[in-house]
Amino acid sequence: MISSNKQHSHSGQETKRFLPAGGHGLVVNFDDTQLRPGESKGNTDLATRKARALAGLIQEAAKDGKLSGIVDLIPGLTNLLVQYDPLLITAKHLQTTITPWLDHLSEDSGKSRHIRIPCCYGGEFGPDLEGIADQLNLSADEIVERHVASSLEVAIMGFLPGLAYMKGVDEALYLPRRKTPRAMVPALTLGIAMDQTVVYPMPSPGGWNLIGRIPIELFDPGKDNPVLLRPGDKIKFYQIDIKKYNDIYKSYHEGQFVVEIS
Amino acid sequence: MTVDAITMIRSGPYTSVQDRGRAGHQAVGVPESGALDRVALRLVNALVGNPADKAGLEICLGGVQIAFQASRRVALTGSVAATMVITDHLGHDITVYANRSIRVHAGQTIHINGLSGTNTVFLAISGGIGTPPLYGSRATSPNAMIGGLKGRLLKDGDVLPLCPDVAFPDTAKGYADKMLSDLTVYDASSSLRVVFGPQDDRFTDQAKAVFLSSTYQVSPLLNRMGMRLDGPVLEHCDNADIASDGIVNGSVQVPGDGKPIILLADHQTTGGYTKIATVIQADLPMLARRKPGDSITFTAISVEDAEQAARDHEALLCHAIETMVAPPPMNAIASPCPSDDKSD
Repeated sequence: MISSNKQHSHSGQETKRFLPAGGHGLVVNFDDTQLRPGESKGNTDLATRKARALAGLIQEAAKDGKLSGIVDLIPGLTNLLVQYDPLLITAKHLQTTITPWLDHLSEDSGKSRHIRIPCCYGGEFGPDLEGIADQLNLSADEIVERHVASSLEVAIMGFLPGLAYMKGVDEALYLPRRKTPRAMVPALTLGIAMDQTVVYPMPSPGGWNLIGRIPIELFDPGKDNPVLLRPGDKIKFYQIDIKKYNDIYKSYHEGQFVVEIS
Repeated sequence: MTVDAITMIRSGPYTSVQDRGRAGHQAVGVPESGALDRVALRLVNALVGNPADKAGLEICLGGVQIAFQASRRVALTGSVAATMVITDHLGHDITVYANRSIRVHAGQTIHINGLSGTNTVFLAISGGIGTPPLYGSRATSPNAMIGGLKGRLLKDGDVLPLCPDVAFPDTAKGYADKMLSDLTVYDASSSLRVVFGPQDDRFTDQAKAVFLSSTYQVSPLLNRMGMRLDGPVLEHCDNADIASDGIVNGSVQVPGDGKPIILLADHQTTGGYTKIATVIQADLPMLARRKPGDSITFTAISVEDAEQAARDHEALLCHAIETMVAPPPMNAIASPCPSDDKSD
């Protein structure tokens, strides 16, 4: 889970660029506030994009046969984990290969997909909407307005297949996660916490503030490409009522409704 | 067309379909999953003549009874002490030790009772389990609800389809059943080897010393996501929060309470807690064999030594597979259909 805590510069200890994860993983760290203590933390998003850009370059090199032994690439918040096969490559070789690439990473690939996702807010689908309205001193309608107006970006994914941590929620909606997580959150429920939004792709325990539900699947094992979202996607939600929700739900699950991706 | 199948008469408390896992999709939150004991998986597939990518059954704690509706070769590994009991159609039992293969006939059943000396064993069936693959793998990840049979642990009465049987490759050598003659790959060092990092700098020097000098116990809270350890707490310099990063098998995560958790095959793909160290790849199979209450100690080595250990371990594993021999015959099993072994 993305931590609400800020990037620390740990009492002057400089965090290194490359951090070992056994002899089978290497974390490449782009957190400049750690690399250069004192720098503003506003660069977190840029660092996350750089990590993603590096993943793209490594993936290409692996495809072209220039790098072997790459098992998986997992973008994190301001970092990239390269999982490798020590029978085929060493951390040292990996570092030597990618180090020259680090200074030329584009912070925005320009290839981001823009995706619009319908959401039915409040009521049974968003049991926390009324409660957090009191906490935030906003009306439920204002919360929804600010949420649909937020331009979100998938920073990283994790926790469950298809679960995206979408950053960029309106500052006025900043809340911690619930003190006591729910034992079970229904599938497709949308939650907010900190500057982020998540949608639970499947039933799961969860501690986010639940404000709505979407009628389309984020993880659909029956499809050729089961996961809808990926890191770097730009997301906008739009509000639908319960009738429209039911229509889209039915239409999507009959294979008719097409998600807007541009 | 009827598909060959087996029926889980008793599934046991924690049995699942597993294979080599589905690495390559963790960027979108899909866990790698797969067998906890990759050594056992490789050996047991080789014993029954399967390619290395076939799926079998990972059995934790035992308590399993399986009815065969097809004639297949089977083998069990994961320990030198594990056994299975095959019951033929006349009700005769025969005990078969781990690390050899044997043909089981349609109508016969296998019992795997309580496990001794290990927490997990792996059962392979020639041809492999044939549940629907996702991203090329049949591995079950119960938390993510994917893979295996409906994404869950097996239940009593479950029927598992089998892939078409493999042609046994060593008929030319004059034997069909196989047995391991070299078990050194199972030799476990008393201590788990770790590489410090990625976030060891977030712990006090004292915490790092405590981590290496203490004996931890495997907590009863053990599952495929992680192994919690009971023992001395590890003190952070400030707190346990980090900018979320990816997780590898063997990460030793230490949340705010200071109690280490070794993350296993079904771990979440990213996490926001400090990881003091990582168990090296060569020692991961040993984790599958540790039971609640077992002792664990850690020894720190360098990245280069961890990579060398992986290569050495692979050489041992390859040697174990290359030096398999014909086991002594077990004629006590009645074959209801003697001609059905002609595929050998």
